Amino acid sequence: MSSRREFAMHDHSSSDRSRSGGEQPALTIRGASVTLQVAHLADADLARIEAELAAKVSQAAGLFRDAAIVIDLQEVQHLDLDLRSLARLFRTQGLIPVGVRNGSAAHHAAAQAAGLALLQGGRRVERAPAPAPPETPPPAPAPAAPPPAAPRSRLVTQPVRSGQRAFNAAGDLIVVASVNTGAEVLAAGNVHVYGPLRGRAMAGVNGDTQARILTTCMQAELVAIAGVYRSIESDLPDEVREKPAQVFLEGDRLFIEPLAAAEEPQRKKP
Amino acid sequence: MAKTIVVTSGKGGVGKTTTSASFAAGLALRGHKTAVIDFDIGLRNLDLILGCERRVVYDFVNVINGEAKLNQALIKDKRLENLYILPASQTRDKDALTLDGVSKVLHDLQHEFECEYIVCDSPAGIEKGALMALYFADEAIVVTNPEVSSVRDSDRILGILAAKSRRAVEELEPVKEHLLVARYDSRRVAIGEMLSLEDIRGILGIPILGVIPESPGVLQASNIGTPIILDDENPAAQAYSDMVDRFLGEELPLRFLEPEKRGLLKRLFGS
Repeated sequence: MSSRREFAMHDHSSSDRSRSGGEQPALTIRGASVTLQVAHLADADLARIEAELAAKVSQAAGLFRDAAIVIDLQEVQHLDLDLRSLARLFRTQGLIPVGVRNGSAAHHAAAQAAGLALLQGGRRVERAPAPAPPETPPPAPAPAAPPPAAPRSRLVTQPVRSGQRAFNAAGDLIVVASVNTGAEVLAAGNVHVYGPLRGRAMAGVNGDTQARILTTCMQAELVAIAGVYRSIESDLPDEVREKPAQVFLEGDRLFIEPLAAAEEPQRKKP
Repeated sequence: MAKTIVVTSGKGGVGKTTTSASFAAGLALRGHKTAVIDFDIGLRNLDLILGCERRVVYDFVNVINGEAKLNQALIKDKRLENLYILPASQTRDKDALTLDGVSKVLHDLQHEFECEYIVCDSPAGIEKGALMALYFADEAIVVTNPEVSSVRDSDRILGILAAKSRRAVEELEPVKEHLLVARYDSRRVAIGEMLSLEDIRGILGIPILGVIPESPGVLQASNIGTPIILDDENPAAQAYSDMVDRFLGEELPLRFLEPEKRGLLKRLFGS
């Protein structure tokens, strides 16, 4: 896999809200956090990238159409890369490349010449090896490595309505209201929805494969964990549809299972 | 302290203008001085429904641009002495609206004209006109029809109210939300062709201010330029009256939720 869906957060603290004489300013600049997709390149071969990107886009055209995307060059730092052609290739697929990060100095110069922004962050430290997929159902999501600071969960008490997005980049997201069709809930950690989950839910958006989506009423349009997603076009099986359910990742497969207390979950393909 | 109420929906054609006209007329009928503003710049309709289209000289945009005074543009209703209409401009577009301009008009309606209620009839969509109409709202009446796309768009507009209204931006007490289900056809709901009230409530999760039954009289009333609420016999008019009373604090049960039982005489002689 040469590109992987990931979400990054950009934070700007500068803000300019000065007003003069009570007149409405023509322009205000405020810092905002924006969720972007990040494509991690593992190879500089444009033909390969193009083929794999086209395959991904065709799987979920709605998800990628006109989406802004950042290209992460960490793994191809030592390779030659034609950034102008690379950017064109993304645009051909209907994506909008907005910047690059973690490239070499030469990459960055070429990116700027190609009109792309240079972004910071997202430098991956060597991750602890993912735990081997257990034969038996995992007793509990065992944290691979204890985080340095306790992740902060975020609580949402109002309905997340169509067109709205609730995001926690630092930990779990807990919604104690409905998530309606056309809404998105995202978290670096788990996503809990105590109410109907009718919109899109994405857990582990920074790559945590242990993250889960839990809801008391599963009606989601799309679920994703650590970038592995499934759009739910046809009806869900009876045992999870409009019932308490959880979504988790094993290897590359997403499982949607009933959330039945004290019952051994059965392996079933969603 | 005047209350500013936006009538909004997201989707077009669900009954915003009909509701604005009847709601404002109902408030005026109960003795409250009420102004109703058409925010649908470029697609002016409210004046037609209230039957004052031939009396429009100056409009909302003229007032905002300083080309006319508010009292020149404000039309006093001929039937109801407490009702005033501020028509939209038919020749401009939504960009003619500015927050400062709208704010000043609302301020003057409250302080110079001593209006108790200001009803803002929003255009469809979630663009500038709709944002201007909802920005200053204290309360919102979200009009929806019992069908999926209308409910989805109402959900969207509720999200915008919670994020982009003045009360949200200034972190004041949130806009008070009311749901009005219009064009409710109890017969089609009963056979499952339309969403039920429970379905709608389940998705939107806000209190229901009223349910207006589908009625041919509504179209006739707008053709002759009379707000439907003034037609005492019509079920939609009675439902609008109930809605106004509920808005003013009365507790009334919802009516017209079940298909009408056809009586023996009606069955014998047809209708």
